[in-house]
This record gives sequence, C-alpha cells and structure tokens, in this order.
Amino acid sequence: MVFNTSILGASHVKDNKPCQDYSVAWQSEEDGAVVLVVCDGHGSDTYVRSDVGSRLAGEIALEAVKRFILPVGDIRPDSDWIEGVQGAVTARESDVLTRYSEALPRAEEDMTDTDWMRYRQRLEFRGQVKGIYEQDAIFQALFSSIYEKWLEAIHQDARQNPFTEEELSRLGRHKLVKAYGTTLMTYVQTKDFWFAFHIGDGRMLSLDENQEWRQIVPWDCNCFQNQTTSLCNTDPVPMFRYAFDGTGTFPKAVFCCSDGIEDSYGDYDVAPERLHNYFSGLLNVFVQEGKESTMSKLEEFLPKLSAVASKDDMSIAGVINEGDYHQNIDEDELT
Amino acid sequence: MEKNNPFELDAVPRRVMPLIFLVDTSGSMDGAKIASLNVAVQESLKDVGEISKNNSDAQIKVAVLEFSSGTQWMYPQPIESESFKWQDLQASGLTSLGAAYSELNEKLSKSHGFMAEPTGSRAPAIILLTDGQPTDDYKHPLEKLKGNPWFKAGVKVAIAIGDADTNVNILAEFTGNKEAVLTVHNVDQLKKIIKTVSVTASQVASQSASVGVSGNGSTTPADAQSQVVSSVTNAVDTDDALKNVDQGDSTANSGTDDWENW
Repeated sequence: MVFNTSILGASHVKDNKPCQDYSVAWQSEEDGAVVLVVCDGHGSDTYVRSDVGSRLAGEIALEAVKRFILPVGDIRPDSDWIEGVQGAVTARESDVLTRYSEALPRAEEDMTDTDWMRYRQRLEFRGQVKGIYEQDAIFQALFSSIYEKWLEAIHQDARQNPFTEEELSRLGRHKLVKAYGTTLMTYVQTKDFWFAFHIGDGRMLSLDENQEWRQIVPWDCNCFQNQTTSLCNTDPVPMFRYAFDGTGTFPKAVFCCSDGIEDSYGDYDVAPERLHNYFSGLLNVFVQEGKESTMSKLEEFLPKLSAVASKDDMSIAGVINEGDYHQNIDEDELT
Repeated sequence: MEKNNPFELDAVPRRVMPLIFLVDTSGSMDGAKIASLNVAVQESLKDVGEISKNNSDAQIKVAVLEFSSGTQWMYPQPIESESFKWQDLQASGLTSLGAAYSELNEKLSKSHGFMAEPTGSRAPAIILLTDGQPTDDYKHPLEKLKGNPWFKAGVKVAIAIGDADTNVNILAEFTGNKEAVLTVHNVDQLKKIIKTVSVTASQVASQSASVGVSGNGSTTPADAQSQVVSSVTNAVDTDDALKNVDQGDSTANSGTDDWENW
C-alpha cells in the first residue's frame, strides 16, 4: 500500500500563500515498484516560486528514478551494480580536496562547534563511502541528472511565466534559482532492491524487523533548526545523502514527512519517540482501517495539526510492505 | 511498536525560546548600576512572562549568567519566565567577559546544554549588560562562540552601562552589528532600556522560525536581529525616556553619565 498527501499550512492560509510542499506516492501496476517523493519549497519571502520549484523537483525525481528502475520494452535495467550490496552515505564537503582529508580545518583549540560537527561528518562520509565507490558514482550521476533537469525546468518556467514586479522585488539581488528553492527526499523500491536519497530537512523513517523506526538516510549537520540544504544552493549535488540495500532485505514500512509534520512533534534529535509514536499510530490505523478511511482522517487531521503546531505546510508519503507487497511480487512472478 | 491515536491533538507541545542575560557583576557595577539592574530585570520578567503565557507557539525560559572574576549561572537550567524568581546580584571583582562567552558557548548545545528541550528549542535571545572593558582574553572565546550555530541563529543585543569605560566596538563584535549596542547614561535609561530590549527580543525571537540563508521558514536570523534593532531604534527615537540613549556609534550623549542620583 502506498499513500501521500500534502496540505496547506495554517500560516500560508493566513498569508494567502500557495502550498509549497509537493508529494508523490507511485506504484507500478506491472511489477509493484514504488516511488515516494516529498519536497518542501522554502517559505521565506525570497523564495517566490518555491511551490513551482518543489513540484518540478518532485516530478523530475519521479521520472528520473522510473527510468532507473523500469524496463524499456523487454529489457530490464541492470541491477548488478546494487545486488548484494548495502550502504548509507551522508552529505559530503563541496571541496573535493578536503572531502577525503583527515586534517582538522583549524588548530584544535580554535575549533568551533560548527567546525567539529562538519569535521565529524566528513570522517563519517569517508568511512561510509569506502568500498562502495561504484555505487556512489552511480548515485552521483543520478543526483546530477536530477539537478540539471530541475535547473532547466525552472529556467523554462521563468521564460514562460516572466517574473512580476512584485516577485522581482521579493527576490531582490538573489539569483533566479533562489526563487524556486526546495528540499527533495525520495524512496525507491523494486522487487530486488531499495534506495533512498535526500537533500534538505524533513524526515524519512523506515520500520525495521524489530518494529522500530529508524532514519533510513544519514542526517546532514548542515540542516540545523529551519536552516536547510536545498536544490537552490550553489553546488547542491554533494549535499545529497543516500542509502541503498540490494541484499533482499526490505523495510516493513517507509514514511517520509516534511518538517511541517516533524516539527509538530518536538525535536527529533532530543525526543525521536514523539514522531515514532505518531508514525506507529498512523501505521496501525492504515493496517486496521484501510487506505480510504485513513486518508480521509489524515487529510482532516493535518490542517488542524498545522493550526496548533508548526503552522507550516505538511506532506507525508509512505509505503507499507507488510503482508502484501512482496506477496504480490511473488504471485506475479509465478504467473 | 507503541499503539496510539495519531489523530489526537491534545499533546501538541510549544517550543522553548531561551532568554539569556549575561550580566557584568564586576566591582565597577557596584551601587546604582547593579541595584537598578536588579530592579529592572525583575520588572521586565513580568512582561516577558505575559508574552510567554500568551504565545501559543513558544514558551520563554530565562537564564542568567553573571560574570566578574569568574562566572556563575543564577540557576543551573533555564526556568519558565512566568515562575522565574530573580535573585539580587552583588557586584565585585574583575570583568571576565571571555569566560562568560566560553560558558555561554558550553550551554548553547543540545548534548550538554540548554537546548535539549524535547519539545524543540527556538534560537535564543541574548542580552549582554556591562559597564566595562574585558579584563580577560575575550577574542578567542568569542570566535568559538560565533561558530556555535545556536549563537549564530540567535538575537543578540548589548547594553553598555555608561560610556566611561565601555567600548562599543567590543560589544558590536558580540552582537554582530553596532546598531544592536545601546549605551545608557543613568538609572532611568537603564531600567527603561532593559525592559524595552527584553520585551522586544522576547517577542521577536519567540515568534520567528530562526532560519538561515537557505532556510525554509518565515524569518531568517538576520531578519530577527534586524527586527529587534528596528523596534529598539523606534523606541529610542520616540520614547522620551530613551531619547538620550546612544545607539551604535552615536556619541551625542557622551559625558552625561549620572550614576549618583537614584
């Protein structure tokens, strides 16, 4: 079962702004492959077309990963590159020369909290990417492709729909790309493997065999409070982080949510159980009451939650694998 | 896996915005300065408590760090502004501003400081009150503090108590801009500016989302800081009780210090 919804946040209702979130939950009728996408367009005044930026990012990511996983005619995409391998890699330094360096950026006694966070993350990256350079290169190519297509699409939008005086005034001296700023998270699942990638904030959690929620893609320390990495950053491709598993092990469920939902349940770093409990409750309702009833309740609930909690737009997309997904695959294969 | 009702709204928490006072309690603050500061902050906290009570988004908690020859927190953890009990400060000793910056840096942390609120923390509002120049190395601790993401995202205002020994440039290094440094010359101005700054900083910081250059909320840290500066500038321009306060580089009222009549 897959599901998704995006709702307009309470503050955007008040300010007469569009919903800047975008979400997709797609499932192939042929082989049950799943793609989830959640994008959160930035809310500050500068980001005058972030609703368009998030939609374009979502649509482009969906099409890009479909090309990655779906057969072309009778030819199935090669999955040798991921078979039997798993990994999870955080964001990397933009500067290639320092990316693999063990050196501290400055004398130890001068290191600030930010320096230490970034340095520790650099070391984590080095360890995580070791041994999966082939897969890493493939993911980097995918992220570059998504980013380049997104850039092309936003420029096309700007040509077809010239910026108004008001939009230009709000954008100020910033480059056009800022107007469309957005985060992007994507989860992809086929019968052979799954992978996920993420730039920016929001949370993507998977339910493991012990019925525990865990973060599927490593966090990026540069996403702090409401400060987030984004497709509108100068060099965003190194900021994508990702995870994959080609060993045949699949999560029982994966839920992706924008920070509008995450922030409504406190600080994930300090009290992750709040969001976990919410996801567990939601999963139980899906399992017990089915998709139609649960979605109806969810779409009624989220605007109320936004009004009393984060005030932000809210998106959630999910897949629940327990008991149906792989069974369907097996049946399909038998026929 | 815990079962619960995901459509329950009852337990939606408010985030916490720490309002942090860094108070110079060196020997030169003795007498009128520390006495009026004690009264003024205490009175301001009543208003801050009201703001907190009426703010559905964020709760304001207060922390006070005094620094002289060393540093000491009034309470080990920030306390809800509505129930904060001010303890009158005494003044003696040196002006260890660098030590205060180091101590603040320690506490602006989720893992070992004030920011580990389960409901989530907003970036802090920090108000520095001092009447003298640092007697220790403040530059190195300040550089480290500036690398603290909570500090970077926070609202910072400095109140120079008298112009005899204070240095606007040193305080502007802390706030990030000179307009957020206010020099007062007598007890009445001190009381009034403490209240104005406390209330303004609390209002702005507890409502803003504290986002950065690439943020996705409604207000950037620079916005929050400039909103506070703008409100305070407006107060200085329009409130008779503040008309002789010097803002930033202004020396219009230099030499008018009067700390005897109180």
